[in-house]
Amino acid sequence: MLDRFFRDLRTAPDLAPNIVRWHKEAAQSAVFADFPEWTPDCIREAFARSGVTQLWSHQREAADLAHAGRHVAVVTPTASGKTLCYNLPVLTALMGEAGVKVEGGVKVEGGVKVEGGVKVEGGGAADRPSGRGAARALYLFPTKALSRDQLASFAKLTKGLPRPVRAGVYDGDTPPATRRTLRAAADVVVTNPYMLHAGILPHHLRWASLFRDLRYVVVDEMHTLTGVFGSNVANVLRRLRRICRHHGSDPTFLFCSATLANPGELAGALIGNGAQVGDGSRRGSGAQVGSGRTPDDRVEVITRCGAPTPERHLLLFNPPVVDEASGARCSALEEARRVASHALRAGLQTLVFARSRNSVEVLTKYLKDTAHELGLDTDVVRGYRGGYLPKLRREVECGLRDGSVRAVVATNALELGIDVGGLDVVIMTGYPGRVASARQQAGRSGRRDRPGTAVLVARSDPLDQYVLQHPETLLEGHAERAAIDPANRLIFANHVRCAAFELPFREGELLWEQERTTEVLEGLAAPGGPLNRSGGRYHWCDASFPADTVSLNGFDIDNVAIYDLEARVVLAEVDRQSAPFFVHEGAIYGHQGDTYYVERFDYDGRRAYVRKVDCDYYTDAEAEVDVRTTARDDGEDFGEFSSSCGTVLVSTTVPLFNKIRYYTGENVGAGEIRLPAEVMGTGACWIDIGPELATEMRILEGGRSQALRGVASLLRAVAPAFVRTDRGDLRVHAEVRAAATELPRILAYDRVPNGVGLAEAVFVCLRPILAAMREIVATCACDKGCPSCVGPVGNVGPYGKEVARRLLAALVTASRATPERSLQDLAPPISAAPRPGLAADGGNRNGGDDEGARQPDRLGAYLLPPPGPG
Amino acid sequence: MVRRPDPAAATGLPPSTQGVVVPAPRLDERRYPGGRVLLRRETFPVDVLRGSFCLADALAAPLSDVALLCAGGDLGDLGDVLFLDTETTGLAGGAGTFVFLVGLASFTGGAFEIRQWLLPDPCEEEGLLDALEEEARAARGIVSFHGRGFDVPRIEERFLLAGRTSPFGALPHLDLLVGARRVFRMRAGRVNLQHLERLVLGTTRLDDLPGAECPQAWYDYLKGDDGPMRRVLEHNLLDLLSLPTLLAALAQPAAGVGPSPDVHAAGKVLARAGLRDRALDLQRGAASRAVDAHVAARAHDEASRLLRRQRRASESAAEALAATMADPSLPAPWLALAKDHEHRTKNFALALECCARLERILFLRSRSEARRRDLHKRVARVERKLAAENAAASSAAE
Repeated sequence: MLDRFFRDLRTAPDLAPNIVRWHKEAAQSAVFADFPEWTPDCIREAFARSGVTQLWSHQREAADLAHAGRHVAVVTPTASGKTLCYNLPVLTALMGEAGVKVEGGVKVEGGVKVEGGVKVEGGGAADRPSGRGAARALYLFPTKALSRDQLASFAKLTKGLPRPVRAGVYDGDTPPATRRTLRAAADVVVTNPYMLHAGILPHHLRWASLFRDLRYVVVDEMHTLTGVFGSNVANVLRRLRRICRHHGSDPTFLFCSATLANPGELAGALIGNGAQVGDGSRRGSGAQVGSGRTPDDRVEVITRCGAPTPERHLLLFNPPVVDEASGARCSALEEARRVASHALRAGLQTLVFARSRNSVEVLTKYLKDTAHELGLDTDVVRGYRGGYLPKLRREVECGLRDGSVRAVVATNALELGIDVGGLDVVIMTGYPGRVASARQQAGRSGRRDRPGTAVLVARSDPLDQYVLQHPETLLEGHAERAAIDPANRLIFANHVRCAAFELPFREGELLWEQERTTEVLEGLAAPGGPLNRSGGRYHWCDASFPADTVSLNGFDIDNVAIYDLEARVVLAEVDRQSAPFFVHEGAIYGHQGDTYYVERFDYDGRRAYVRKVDCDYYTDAEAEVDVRTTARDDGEDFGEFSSSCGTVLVSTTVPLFNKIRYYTGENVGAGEIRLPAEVMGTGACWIDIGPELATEMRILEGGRSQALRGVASLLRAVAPAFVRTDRGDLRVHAEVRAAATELPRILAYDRVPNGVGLAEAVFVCLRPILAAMREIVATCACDKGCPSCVGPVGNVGPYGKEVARRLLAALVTASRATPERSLQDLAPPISAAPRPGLAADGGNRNGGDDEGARQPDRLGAYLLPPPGPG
Repeated sequence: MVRRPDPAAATGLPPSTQGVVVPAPRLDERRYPGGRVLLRRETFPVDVLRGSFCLADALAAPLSDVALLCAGGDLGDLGDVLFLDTETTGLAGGAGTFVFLVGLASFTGGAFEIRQWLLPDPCEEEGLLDALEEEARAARGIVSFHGRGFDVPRIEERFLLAGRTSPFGALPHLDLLVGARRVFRMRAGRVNLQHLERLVLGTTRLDDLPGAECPQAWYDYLKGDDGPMRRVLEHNLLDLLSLPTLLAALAQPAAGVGPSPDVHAAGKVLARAGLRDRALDLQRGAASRAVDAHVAARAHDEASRLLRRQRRASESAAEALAATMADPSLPAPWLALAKDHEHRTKNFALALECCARLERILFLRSRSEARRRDLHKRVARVERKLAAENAAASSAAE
């Protein structure tokens, strides 16, 4: 089968000429280990029932460390059995107390409710038998879907154990009765960081029995915890540990992650063991680095993977040029379909990754047509993406495992830890934006005994073309570093407020050794503040509920339900931010290759009503972002230009949609979307270029204006080296003629509503940032721009690099000519000599809906070369 | 009448509210190992009126009925039973929510004694817990309004935060909100204490501090302004005075006294608890005295159901008929009649008639497909029976 596919790839006239690189990775055999001797027999049997009789070396290693009470971070590729690394020690701890725990030992007159055989009392768990010896665990997953997936597999694993393991998902969808049961009696609570932050920690007294007996905290998909989100989660975990100590437990943290450059650092920073992460400079910032709170608080990192990897072929496929003049190439979607149909014909199980939900639906439809032509049932081709209801997703996953599904088109929703086993062929429609993602996706190909093939079908997109011209970035490139800054002034202060609500601070008590705690507490205890200082403690004396006002990542995790008017059922869901793009009135909503017409979108009620139609087109909506400055808090004049920081209003609208015909891709009409703009106020900094400089650089002229965009995206790429954050948390905006000044303006603003001071930090560090930007452009070997500097020519225009180089030189000269002001207490850590591995923005076309745990970088894609020497 | 929170004025004239003369608060300091607490103690004679009920009515109320209505434990009598109402700094709960005022009351020595425990400072909280522990030790049970869902859990959280075990959780608890929801919902719509005071007790508060302002009053008090806190104390006092009277009011419908919607609702609760004879009496009483035809129809319907369970078919049918006559838009009696005509009287034509009425009502009101399906099955069956009967009749005629 594979031979036939390879023959096709080598000889077929529609494939062979387009393969620009054929890379082969040799197979690696498994390194096995036995179950640890401490594993109870019943658990050994449970794993045997699910087909695991032997461990891989990294699983054994991780389980042993966890069992010994050491924090562990497991960083191994896709499908290397990471789940087992934590389930084994957790189940062992649960089983260890089989005889001790009293089932439903609650006895309260009057208020007792019996649910699922467990007696639960509404008010709290005060009267549970003292938890001596009992163990419980908390699992944190970044998404609701993943939580439910994991719960399902956990339930399967624990079926048949001598003592029933009570596990449940606690999130916004959990009904009140189940919540009570979980609070009182769950052995394993599966939840997400948001719920832990606002739903569990503030009510820790109701969860007293969980916190008293908490033995393990599992944090899966750790690589999603970067930037502002990661910084917030790090503080949430510090609060969690503080609460645990109050209740008398000190849980062991088990992290799992996809490949990262600095997993140990990140895990350490997340639990606050003193390590600092991602200040870009790798400059040892004094006493903080590496000085764990206690020697035992170290995180052991396991990267050596014992799982076997099959022989894997990585092919780079460049669609043929259709228009020599513009260099435009065939649609990647069309080419991916061609490759997939060869694979289908060869009888190979195929997974196609598409970049957006829309392309998933379009490609699913195309491949169903192909399957029909091949004489196959159209049901062998399925779509898979976020928004599908769990039942449907489960069906597709099962189909993949048992082989009844031959091809799946998916977004990167399948990139995260969902178990579908190995597949023969993985086709990536477009470069997924990050080396780690690309590897994660390619890693889905290959089975234990059969080689796998991954094909990257490039788009005309400049970034994709860059990767194809420089394949080493992908083949040898290193994973990204994760950067978080738990000590961020605003983020930290927010969490001190939350922590003060949860438990009064004693005078002199620090939230995880942050000296600034006292300062923040004193500020909060000032007249008019929420804290009352008396008797040596800071008491929360305010009617507000602080966790409600602190958002972890600015995203709303609520969903819009899509309701099928004919079948009278909820068909699917879509997250609220994306809803205007997909379910505006008049949209064609694709679902498993079928088309539905959106009749009504109830924006406030979070419901969209659709009706199945037979339609030969799909719709595509584009976003329009408008940034307006509202206040200027500070500014600096450099003569040639000025810099400012202040606040802006960012309004995002989706004004129009286009109707696009299947196959031909022609635009067959457009429509207006009438939805309120999403308005957000946030912090920003901006550079106003003076009239002389603008004229000199001829930026205002057509053909050169794009250069400004290049400079802006370079700013976005460079800033994380100076301001500890993920680049997705900072957004940029370039205006050739700003409304206020009629002159060019470059803006950087915080993505999170109300901001967390990132843009302000950029303002403070502007001089070194500009210098770094100039150096990058000046030293970049490319001719007219590449993703490593201002961005590919396709994005910035033929003069982009030239204009950017001269503009940056002028800015740096001007900034050096102006004496530095003292900006003492604002200054965030500035690194001495950043060697940022940088790349410019791939450019955002329509808010491309790359899915994932949390789209850390919606707007673009980037590459990071290996970190340089310190 | 608007009283200013002026200490001087407050000591002058005792504010009065609808017959209850409330003296100006006098707070005494009590010291406990955990800290100091302020205590206000007021005693009211049991003939004090709260609307149309007096405190003593609670002593005469059959507590077993109230326990049934409130799904709580039977306290036997009100001796050593604590009436409980707290004021907190937030409704959502959570560790940062203080219980700053705990109002307790009990019938002692022929009078109603109210003890309000006020937390003078956050750091003295353990003292308040000591005081509560002492109170709870001497108590046999609790009567509250929404105490099971709110007050007691909040107190338990405070004990838990201090690493202690709450003494309240283990006491039998009569939560009047549970009973009020069941008995007064039909008449009252929303069931909150002040609404019930107006509707059931017949009294209105003047110049009462809105509950939402209570937290701020305490924060002001901590800063040295005790004006608003006086109003909180009074608010809490009125809440406590309402508890025994509301308890008495709750017991009445179960004895067949009071507006017929309440009697009807109480009857339903008794029926569910197995007291069918009493329930039947209540429903018949409610039906005969109902002012509102809809209430009468429901009471008849309920009576019909009870009689059916006792296999008194003809009486049951009569009640169902009465229900359809009182309010023809109620679906259940039509179904009961249809069944009765199909199976007992074998009057298939009338059964079909009833089905037709029911279908019209379901068409207008019900979204339930299952009910429609069932009805269609019934119609088809009755039609078959009618046809068979007609056929038999015609063959007999031949």
